[in-house]
Amino acid sequence: MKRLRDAVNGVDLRRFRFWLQLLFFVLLVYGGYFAINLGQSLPTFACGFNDAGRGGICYLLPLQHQLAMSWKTLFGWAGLMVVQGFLFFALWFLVLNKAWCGYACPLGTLQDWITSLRTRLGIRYSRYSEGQFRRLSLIKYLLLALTILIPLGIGGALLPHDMGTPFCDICPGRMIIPMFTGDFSQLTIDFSNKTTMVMTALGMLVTGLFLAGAFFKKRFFCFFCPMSALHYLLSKPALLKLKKDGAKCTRCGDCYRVCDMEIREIADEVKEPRIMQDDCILCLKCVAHCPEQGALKATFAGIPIFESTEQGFIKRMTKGHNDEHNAQ
Amino acid sequence: MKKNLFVLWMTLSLPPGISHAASLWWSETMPHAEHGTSQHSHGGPVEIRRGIYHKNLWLRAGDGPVDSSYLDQAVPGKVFLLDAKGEMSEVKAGNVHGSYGINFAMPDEGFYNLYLVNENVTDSVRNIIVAKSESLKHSCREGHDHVKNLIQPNHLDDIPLEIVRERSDDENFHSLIGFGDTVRFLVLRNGKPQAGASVTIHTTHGWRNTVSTDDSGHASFMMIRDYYPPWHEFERRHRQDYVVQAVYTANDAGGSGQLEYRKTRYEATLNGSYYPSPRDYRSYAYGLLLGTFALVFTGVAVYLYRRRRQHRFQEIRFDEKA
Repeated sequence: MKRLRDAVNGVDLRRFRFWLQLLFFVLLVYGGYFAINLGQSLPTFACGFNDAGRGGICYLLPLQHQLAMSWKTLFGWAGLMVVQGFLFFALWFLVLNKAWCGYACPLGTLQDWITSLRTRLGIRYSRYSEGQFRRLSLIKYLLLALTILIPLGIGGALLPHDMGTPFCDICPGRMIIPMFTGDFSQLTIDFSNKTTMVMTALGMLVTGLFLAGAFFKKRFFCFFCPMSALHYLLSKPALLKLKKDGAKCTRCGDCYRVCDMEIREIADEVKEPRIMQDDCILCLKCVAHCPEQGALKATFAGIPIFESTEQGFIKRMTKGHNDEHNAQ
Repeated sequence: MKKNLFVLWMTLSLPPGISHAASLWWSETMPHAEHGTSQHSHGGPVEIRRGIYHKNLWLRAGDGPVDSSYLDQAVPGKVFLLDAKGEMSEVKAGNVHGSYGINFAMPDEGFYNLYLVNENVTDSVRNIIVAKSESLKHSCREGHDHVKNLIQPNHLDDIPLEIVRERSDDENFHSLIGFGDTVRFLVLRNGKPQAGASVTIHTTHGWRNTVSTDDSGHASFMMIRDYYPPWHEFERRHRQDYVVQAVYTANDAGGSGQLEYRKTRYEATLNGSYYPSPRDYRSYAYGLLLGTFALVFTGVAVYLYRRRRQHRFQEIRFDEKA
């Protein structure tokens, strides 16, 4: 048992994550070709506009559709369907918690691949200042509120029906993910009316911004993702958790330096064991880069499944050094 | 699709006011606006009662949407419904929102075929009229599994003359026929392809075109663009009706009841809808232009920002002797 635990704790997380992300990408973007359908309540960006290949549908699409029903319908029998959809979403989410972002999200995976491209080109990445970070972190909550309120406004006939799925209209996933199955139809501006024209134009602008942003900034879009905000509201009862033992932390700052989301609390917080913040994507890079035995750990239903160890740290650092040396 | 059709052919003439030359066809457009509007669904307008979709169809007489009238009395013949599960049942037509029509529930996902079969003998010619309507029931809440199976067209082998709209390769629950699309129809007589039938399409604004079926019973039409509102009045979900009418005459003399006939004129109708094509209002050029602009602008902005923050090394010499 100890050998197994040592093997897990010494795993090459970068490689493990790459293959797992690839597996999820194939499952969610091409799963439809293999008759895989995980439903329409997935807590990740399995884009519903990817008609041919999707292996499931991102929950935000049906949620916006459902909330745009007339209030009479929504607050009648159809309300049960909204509750049912949310329960399925919550059940999916409770298993992996925010690891849906770090391991399963196709849009997150794409950003990681763009980051790899930048690294290979030898271009340095950008970081936010602490003030910028605080302000930008709030945008996802604003987007989540709009994602819910705009469809509700449509249901109440306060807003035009053409704004039915406002977040999907501006989500870069709608434009980019269908392209992987040969569908380029979302790369258009819809001139049928002013509302759709503005929303599709915004969508294309955000897509251009996404591609450039993800090149310079790790996980650029995740700071603004309303799905991430929705996740955080449910993350407390989730089974997969990130925990920190402050007594073992030497505040070396390695965990903060490797964090794609620039979460400072991972290094600074030494009192609260439940360290996960709203921007965390549970990629577990912080655990892999922590040299202190048991200072950081991922637990599933209370059972530690991956924790920081000195041996694991040395093994990964040595391998990283050798890979770098061989590349030169 | 082989089905046992228990049709009792009626030898009654059409009600007064309807010419024997007039086509009968089903329409999903509500005849009287004062009765309100139906809800939009992926299969056209429906009424939703306690979560179950109900379709209203009205029988109209005449050639095409422009020259047809709604009926206010029953038409002899039987009305059959072939549901999404392939089960057939006789249904009762009657007064629906002030005109002769039918209302039926669509609990399952897929297509529902409604048939009215009417037969009469006039001037020694037997006229068999089959008015058919295909209605799709789809709610996204029920998912999108097995789409290919559920959207396949159904037909009945016992129907004297039937029009089947063939599905395009990439058709799904959300597909709409648009301007410029080619729509293919198959004409079947007693379940077998009928060559040489005259097929005419009539559209909302009066455009019509007639072709003959080929050896395999196929006829196709390219839908024309006949919707030109000012931009601020344009609706991408603007629904326009079309009616396809197939006519075939066979020299099969015989008798029906006490009436003799020299030949039989078969006529079948099928209604449908078409919409503005996304090709008319979607632009790749502007989309790609905007996307590229945002990409380049952001890239250049980051590059310039980084350059501005770079400070060249400047050596400062101090002359200690001075």
